[in-house]
Amino acid sequence: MLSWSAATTHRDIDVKGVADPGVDPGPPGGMALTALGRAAIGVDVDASFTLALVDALGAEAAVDAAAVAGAFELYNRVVDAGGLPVGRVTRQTMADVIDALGMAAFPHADW
Amino acid sequence: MFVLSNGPGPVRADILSALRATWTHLAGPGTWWTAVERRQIAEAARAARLGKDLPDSSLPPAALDVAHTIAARPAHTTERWVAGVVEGLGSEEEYVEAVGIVVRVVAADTFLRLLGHEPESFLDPQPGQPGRVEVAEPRRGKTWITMGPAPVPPYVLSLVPSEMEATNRLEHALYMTGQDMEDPDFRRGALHRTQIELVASAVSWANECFY
Repeated sequence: MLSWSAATTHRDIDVKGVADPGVDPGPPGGMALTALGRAAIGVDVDASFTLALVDALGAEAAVDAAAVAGAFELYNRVVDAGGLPVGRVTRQTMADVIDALGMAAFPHADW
Repeated sequence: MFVLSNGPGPVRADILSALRATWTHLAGPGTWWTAVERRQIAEAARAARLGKDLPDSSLPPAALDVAHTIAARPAHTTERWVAGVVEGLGSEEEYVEAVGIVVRVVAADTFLRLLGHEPESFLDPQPGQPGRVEVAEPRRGKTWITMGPAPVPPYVLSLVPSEMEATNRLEHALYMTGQDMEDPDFRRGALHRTQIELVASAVSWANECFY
């Protein structure tokens, strides 16, 4: 979805920024957005990452970004609970992203 | 319930409404679990997600396994594990309902913690018996559980329609609707779709979610 949205709307994205806190993914507030996303899964996460987003993008965007993080805590678990397959074509078209983010090492990568 | 006025910023009314509906739905009897059992699944999921010991409960071991694994180690599910807990629970439907409870609690708790709030207290379980309504002609595709009409995220919990609807309602408020997802230029207030997907991708990467 990230690559599709960026390509379709002619926005430059460095997908490595999704995983690497030292890489700016490109869009405004990108490093703060990805930092919040990575931090959201922690057992001790607090409001500090959201407050950093307030400084970068404003309070409304910060709260909406926190909501998206909550949504993907849900979404990830739903697909992992149901065993949704990732098709061969998707794997081929997303090969660069899979490689850039080290996703071949994920537990479900071979399924 | 869900008074979130003291946070980094205002929370949209549709999100508050969805969170409150989620909690009300959770407190009622489900399709396969009683309200007391649903509350125990929710409490176990919350504890597991926070890395705490699971609270005492009357749930069968397989239900506690579902709550713990889906809440704390979702990327480590396997087809064999799913088959084992389904056997332990007695039906796919009980597994699906438990998963629905777990994922909504984790989503709500994560959102509140990112806003600096403590997790919301659960409502008292309501009386009543599970409806035990089976879906007509369920189909099994290349997935670990039965779902229809297609093997895509909105239908993973379709074996228990009430859970599917409650889960999709919360996800639509926190993320976007299916119709919005078709728009690569979608904007949520000040956030462009690409910025929204940066958050989504980072969460998914951190959760080691390959899908």
